[in-house]
Amino acid sequence: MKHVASGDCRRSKIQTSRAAKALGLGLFFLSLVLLLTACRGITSPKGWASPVITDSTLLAAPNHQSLADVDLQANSRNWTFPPSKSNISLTALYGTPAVSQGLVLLGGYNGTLYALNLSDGSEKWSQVTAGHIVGGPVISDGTVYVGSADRCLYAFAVDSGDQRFNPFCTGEKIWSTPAVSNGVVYFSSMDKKVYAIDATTGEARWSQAFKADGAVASTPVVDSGTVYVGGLDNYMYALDASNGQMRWRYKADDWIWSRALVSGGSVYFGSLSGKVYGVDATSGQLRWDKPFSAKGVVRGGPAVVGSTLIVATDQGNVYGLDASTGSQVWSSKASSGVLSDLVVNGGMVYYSTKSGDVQKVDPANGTITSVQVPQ
Amino acid sequence: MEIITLLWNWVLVNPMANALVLLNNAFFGSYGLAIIIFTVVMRGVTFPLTLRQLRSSRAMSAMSGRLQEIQKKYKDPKRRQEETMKIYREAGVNPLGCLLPMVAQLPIWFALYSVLRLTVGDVPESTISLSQHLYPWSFIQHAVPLSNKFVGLNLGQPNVVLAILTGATMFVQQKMTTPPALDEKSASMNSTMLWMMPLMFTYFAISFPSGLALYWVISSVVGIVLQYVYVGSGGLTWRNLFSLQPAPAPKSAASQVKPATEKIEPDEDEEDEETEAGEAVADERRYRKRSRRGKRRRKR
Repeated sequence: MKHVASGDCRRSKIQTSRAAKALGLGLFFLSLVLLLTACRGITSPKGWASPVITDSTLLAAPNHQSLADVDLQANSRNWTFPPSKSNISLTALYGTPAVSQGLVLLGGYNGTLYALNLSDGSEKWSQVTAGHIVGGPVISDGTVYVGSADRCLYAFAVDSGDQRFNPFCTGEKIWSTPAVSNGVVYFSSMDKKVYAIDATTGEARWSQAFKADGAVASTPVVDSGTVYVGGLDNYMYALDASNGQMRWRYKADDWIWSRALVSGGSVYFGSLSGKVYGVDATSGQLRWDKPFSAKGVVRGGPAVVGSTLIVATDQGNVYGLDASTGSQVWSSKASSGVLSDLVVNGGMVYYSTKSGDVQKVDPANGTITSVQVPQ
Repeated sequence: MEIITLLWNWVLVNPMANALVLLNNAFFGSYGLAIIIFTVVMRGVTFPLTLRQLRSSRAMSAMSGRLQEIQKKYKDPKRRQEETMKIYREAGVNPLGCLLPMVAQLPIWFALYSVLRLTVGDVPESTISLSQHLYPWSFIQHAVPLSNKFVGLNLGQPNVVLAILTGATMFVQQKMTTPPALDEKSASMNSTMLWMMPLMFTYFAISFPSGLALYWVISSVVGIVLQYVYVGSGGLTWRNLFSLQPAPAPKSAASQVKPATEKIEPDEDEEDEETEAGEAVADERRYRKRSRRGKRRRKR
């Protein structure tokens, strides 16, 4: 080891001191950059509930943490749930609320299903499940069906909240909205299965549940005796609604979480990599030359108005496609990312953004207008 | 920023996320077991860096006696710093040597933290994010959702017991690794850091999914074992375990309080950084021998 002379020693000391400061500063900024980059993966429940339009009112979820009833003509807010002085915290709202018999049914991420009076937003009854509610409730013949992350599907009387039958439990959490058709409730579970149960008794209607290759988070859609449901195994499945036998399956390039849309003999859906597909409802063959590539994740179900297919992505890109060819007609930019399903009302397509704004897009030209939710 | 994120994901986050899912498949679909194995494997992979850090800190610890003596002996800060630097040079120890391996490990720990937040998250958004990180191999993709259940714990939810364990193990590890303070100022800082860091992590563990807390606990336990095997207990005993003051310097280090004014002639071939700790200890032995010889001469 070499010794340093006295003058050199002082210089060396100063240099070391400077180096230490520079290194310390560098470390601080490196840690900050790394922390910020790492924190980009941090996720908390934010919600993606779609808006609901009834006659002259709009049910929207500002910030996806409460439900507001807005009079569209008077441009005023009728009520908010939970009320400002309430100690109820919904945490987040994912499922689209259901409206029936003057009641609004609302499933919160806090695991509670609420029945609210549509007129004033007061709570009529509530039922607590043991898990988060991510899928929305669905109403049929006076009964509301809702799935929970506690793995079970529940059925309650809409007017009283009484339990219709014992919860039907699966092997994993249920994140999808059930679909009811001809007295049968169809729903998917993250245990990779699709179930069909009797809407009145809650007993299984298929000899065995349909088993997909991966978890199933998307909402099943029933059309002309066929159940269409996408999975986190990249497949869109078409199942015989009577026995659960697979009619065909179509492999997409990534997970399918979007609700399928059946229209004009085609099944439209998007994948989490941003591809949009138009598949023949009978044969399961792609009807377009190639899938449409959108920029961002397609989580929400698409909408069709006339011959235009509308899809939106988590990066806020909204596209109008020719439903028969899949070619782009127009594109627009939403105020922020869109994960909600697209809803058609009065010839316009509504959606809610990640930040909780409600917007509507004109399917003819892609013009986006914000729907004000007054305070 | 987008390029940094892409690189960050491509190089670290994606391989780690897929490795964790793979381990989950290999270990009976138990994600808790996968986290434990993964943490131990990652500590094994970064072991050379950890060892380097431990050696540096051991060398620093061995010199602590002499450094304390300098603090007492010289009031002039400039002179004090000169003498301190001289000791570092003589021992062939870079005072920042124990920081560099730690910095090199930082990206790995940040990435792992990010991966765990993605995979144990019980939130729909985290599942969407996870899809962007998994390789398109069916045996990886079909493993989702990962089971959150592990020995009665829900790894996607915070757990108080694991949060307390996080703080406790981190406290013990801190106590073993905090070097003896050279002055009152650094003693106060060490003392604050000793309880503040574990307290902060306990708070994080209460707020975050317990899968992360499981990772922190296992990581700290492995750190404690490595510290004990390669450096020793750092003066930690059952008696001072619960004290909020850093553990006192071990006797071996404390007994090495010697004046630093005597010049030491180190060997030319002692520049290998890999043997910093060995050098420091050998240096101290030579120093003691010469010091004893000097005393005998003076007596004569």
